[in-house]
Amino acid sequence: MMTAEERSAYLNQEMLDSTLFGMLTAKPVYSDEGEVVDFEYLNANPALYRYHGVNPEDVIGKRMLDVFPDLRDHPTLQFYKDVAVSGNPAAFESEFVTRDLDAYMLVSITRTHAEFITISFVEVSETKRIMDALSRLNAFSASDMNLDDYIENVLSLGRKTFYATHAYRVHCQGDLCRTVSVSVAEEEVDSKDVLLPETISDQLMREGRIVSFRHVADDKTTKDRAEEIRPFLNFIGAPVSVSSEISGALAFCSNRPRARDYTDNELELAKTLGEAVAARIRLNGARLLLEQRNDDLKRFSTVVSHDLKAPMRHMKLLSELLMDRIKDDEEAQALGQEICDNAAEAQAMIKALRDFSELGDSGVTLEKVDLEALCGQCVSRYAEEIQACNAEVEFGRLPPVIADRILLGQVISNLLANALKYARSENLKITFDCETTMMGQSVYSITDNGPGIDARYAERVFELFRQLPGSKANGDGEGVGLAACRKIIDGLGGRIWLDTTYQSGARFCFTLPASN
Amino acid sequence: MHTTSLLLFEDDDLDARLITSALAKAAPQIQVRRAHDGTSGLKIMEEDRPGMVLLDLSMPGLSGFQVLETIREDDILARTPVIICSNSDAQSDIDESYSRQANAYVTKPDSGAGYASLAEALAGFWIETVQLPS
Repeated sequence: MMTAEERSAYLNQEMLDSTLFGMLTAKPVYSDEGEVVDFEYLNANPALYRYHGVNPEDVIGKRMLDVFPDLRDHPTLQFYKDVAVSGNPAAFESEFVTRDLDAYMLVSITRTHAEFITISFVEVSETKRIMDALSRLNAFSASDMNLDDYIENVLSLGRKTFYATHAYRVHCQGDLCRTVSVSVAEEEVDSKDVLLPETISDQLMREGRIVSFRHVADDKTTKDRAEEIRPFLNFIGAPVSVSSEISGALAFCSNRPRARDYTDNELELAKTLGEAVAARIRLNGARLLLEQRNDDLKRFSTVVSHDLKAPMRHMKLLSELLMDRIKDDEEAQALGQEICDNAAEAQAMIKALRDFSELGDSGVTLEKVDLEALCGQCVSRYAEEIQACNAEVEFGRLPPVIADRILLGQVISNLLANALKYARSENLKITFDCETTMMGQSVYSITDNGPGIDARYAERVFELFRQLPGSKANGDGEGVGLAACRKIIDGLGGRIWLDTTYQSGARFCFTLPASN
Repeated sequence: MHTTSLLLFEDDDLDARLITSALAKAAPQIQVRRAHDGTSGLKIMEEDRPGMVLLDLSMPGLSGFQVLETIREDDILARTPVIICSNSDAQSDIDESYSRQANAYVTKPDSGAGYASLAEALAGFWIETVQLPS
């Protein structure tokens, strides 16, 4: 059986060695006037290193203010003195700021033997600091900034969170993965490119590892070059892998060593930052590709619409000339007329294609649009057709919208023309209406009581030149109306769709962004 | 009846043939000369000033715009009425032509009847109606 004393000694040593709490014992140092002016450390546990980067044997026998000179002007110094004098324990949360530590510590001081005090402390801010960094990363990841700005934000965020003096984006150029640029420096903007030490770049870029060291002297591989490699005296960095290839890295470093090792949370954050940048690069690549495709498509349709125009016109002219020569042959006349009609249809399609590709090119003017008035204008433009199919047009409540008047008018006209063209029922009824969703969004609709559109074609109806089964081409730029509606509404930041839940006819719905 | 000469800048044979024959019917008194491209047309203009010009925009070598600019920068040729006759109905081409001081802009017809009525309109206005410069 161990004695209570033996047990407690054993327990104490175990505790001291393994606890995450930093623990120190100290005795007060008095001035000639009998005032407590400092403390002398009697013992310390290994956790001290975790927080302050000093080993217990380096503090035992030393004065507190020599080991931690920052405490000299720290408001909490008085607490230590008070506990030593009064014997009343104190516990407080305190911000502890040094060059490379800005931490909230939970500190507890008790007077144990006679005048000795025991100080135990733990950092409570690290988790908070990492969480803050992650939430800020999330916030600006959601924004629409360009790639360079994004990377600069990530670098700045990492630099502050890791208390680094410099942050770099590491570029990989061929086999030489060492060129570094885009620096976010602590004080002045220092965007000079520096070479990343080879040993670091090898680990980062070749092996794809997170690299960190608190002092280059601890890092055996880079040790002998310590003097050459400022500001890489302490370092944390993460590779940036885009599509399984390491295309670069983020590096956070300082021209001074750091007191403590990088924690698991900090390593995890570095990894997350590298992944966030990689994701952004992929997104950016996809966006550039999309923009390029759009440009290509635009150029293609311009070329098609301009260059096909002349041959189509000629085809029509030539078939006319041909028909002049074969006036006696009725069959040949009919064939010639077909060539002519086909050419005319192609001309109409080319014109429609060009109009479609140029939609919105002349700029978009957003203004408050009285939708009721606009729908009224469109209806009166189609008065003849409406009368021809004996249609009835009704309006529900249509609140004003913020949109481009001309483009929105085109949408309404196209939807109306569509309803008139396909509905073909005895008592055609067309209704313009607006409903407000639970989320407060206005959904505008135009509904007819015609045959409706099969839900299978809900998306296809919006494709350019897409003819639905059963619809008849009339050569008048058929198949452009709804595609134009989608292009316009998309361009205005809204959405347009066929309401497939509506069964008693066709109902097209669209939304527009709410006005600010 | 006025007589005048018209210089047609037109690289396309079919278009040239159709407009020439339509003009011959509508206004037989007009002498039509044809240039296949801008450079040769400008050379003809210097040697033998036409009363008016019918100018295509899209031609090999000098474009119609460049030809128009050269005409407008020349002290003597500048006053020649220039009518653009183009395949394009793009507003940008129309605006650009008037900015460069074209006197009129028409798009090429796509039927024989269209050519006939264009020729009649040209003759009726530019030959029968307006006073042309010396």
